[in-house]
Amino acid sequence: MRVACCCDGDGSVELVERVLGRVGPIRALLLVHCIDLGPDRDVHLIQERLLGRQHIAERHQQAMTASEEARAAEILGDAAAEAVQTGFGGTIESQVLHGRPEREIVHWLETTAADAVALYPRPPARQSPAGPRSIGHVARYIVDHAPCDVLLLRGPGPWRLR
Amino acid sequence: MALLLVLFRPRQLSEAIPALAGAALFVLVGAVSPRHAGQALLSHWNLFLFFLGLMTIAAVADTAGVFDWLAQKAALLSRGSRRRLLLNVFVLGTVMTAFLSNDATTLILTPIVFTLATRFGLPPRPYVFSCAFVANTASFLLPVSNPINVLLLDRFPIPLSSYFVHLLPVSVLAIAINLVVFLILFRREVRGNFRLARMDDVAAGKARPIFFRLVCAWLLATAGIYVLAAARQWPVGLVAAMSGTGLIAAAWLAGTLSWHNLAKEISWSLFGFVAGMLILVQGLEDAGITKALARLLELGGHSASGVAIASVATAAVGANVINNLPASLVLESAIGHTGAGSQTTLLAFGTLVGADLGPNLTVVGSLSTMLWLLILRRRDLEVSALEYLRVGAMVTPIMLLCSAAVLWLTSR
Repeated sequence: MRVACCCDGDGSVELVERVLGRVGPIRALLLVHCIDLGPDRDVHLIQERLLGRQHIAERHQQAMTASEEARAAEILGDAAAEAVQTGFGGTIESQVLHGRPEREIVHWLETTAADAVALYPRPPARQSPAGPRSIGHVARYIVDHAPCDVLLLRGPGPWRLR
Repeated sequence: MALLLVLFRPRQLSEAIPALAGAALFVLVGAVSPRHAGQALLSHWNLFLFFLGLMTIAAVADTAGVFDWLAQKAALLSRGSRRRLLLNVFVLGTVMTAFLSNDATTLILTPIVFTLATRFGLPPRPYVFSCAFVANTASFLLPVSNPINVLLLDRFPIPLSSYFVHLLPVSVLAIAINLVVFLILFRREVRGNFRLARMDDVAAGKARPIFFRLVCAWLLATAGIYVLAAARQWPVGLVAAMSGTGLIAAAWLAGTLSWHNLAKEISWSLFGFVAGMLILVQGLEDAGITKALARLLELGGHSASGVAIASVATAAVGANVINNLPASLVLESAIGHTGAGSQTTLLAFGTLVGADLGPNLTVVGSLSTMLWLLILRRRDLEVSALEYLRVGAMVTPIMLLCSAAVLWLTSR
């Protein structure tokens, strides 16, 4: 069985640990992290406000990209280390995506032949725990569009990690 | 037409081209006489020098790693608390805006804070938005905090004491409101702590410690001279240009000066854009259009409360429809045509507050953004700017209303 884990940084290590403990037998663990380009775009939109002024310096743009890539590598590295530590003997593959997380993950799933994808349905801010918005928009999109089974783990959200 | 092209920028056309083309057309058809056009440009030499000096100061200080160092200090002082980091970003943004203008905060501090937040594993939006908002909110703390202030105060010279009496309380209140609303809006994102250990990974930006210290000392001295210049009503453009020249000399002595890189950091098209806009506004003034616009500013009557509300609202709307720089150029001319008499100072202050705070409402403070957002939505693309609009809609009207009220109270 090939199982994909959506590692977004909040509790990714725990997600891997729980997937390995509950789903099995797993032949390949596919770790994926998507760099959300939304905040990066915000910075450039904010700059646009200064009509005719300077642009963001190249070294700052490079630093922004590098920090995101380093963060992604760190998240996936921690998750892979956790899998090894728990004694997982199968294949571990890591993938960094760029764009809107929900869409990129679904597109990626279509190409990876994963049997299942696991994620924390992180709730968006200001929502009711009940009803159609009980899970975040990323999880909702993946549930609706993923070409494989979807495993939602009612896990520790960031509010409980404090 | 020139303004529409400036706002929509088809094919990424530089703003300077339509502005200068429109200005040339005005002169060619006789809407503005060459003498008037020349006068319009020469009378704003202080603004041009200010822009040039400011961009040079920011570029050299950024190369020296001053802002990276300040942002790291802000992170260290937060002692791992997300909420305290937001507060520190606000304080740093306020200080940077006060002395180096809103441009420096938006263009330099924002990407640095984004990088720091990402490395700490924090959601960057609260911190990035803080930079963007405080760049406007704190931009009337001092007469040099926003080029628009320089523009308006050049035309309507106001003593620094009067500036502080009227605008310091407004500014402090606006910053406080902004901070409180952000702490409430982003309460979930800024809850908890982060690992400061990751600080080691962040470049310290102090490869040349002597140059770094020299630039820091120079910036402090410049800040003091700015205040002195504002108090004595010396042209702040001259101070900025001299300070920028001094920093270039320091960089040359330290062997870090690259004319090519420095030239890249300066937006030369801005000068063309402002020059074109100045001639276009002169044309509008000669045609009596700004006189008609003055009626808008007189809608509030002659009472202090009416003048305060009308000027703040007009400038804020103008800033959101055509961007605050062109709006301020038009309003600067319109104020001269009002029959406000003794209320001219209040009108100038109200315009300054509206033009500085107003852009917080929309992402670029212009009609083009809104239309652009609509186009993106039709294409089903992510519109992160909608998030900005949501935040802006919550914080800006409160700030504008309270600012107008305080402006009225200090003018009674």
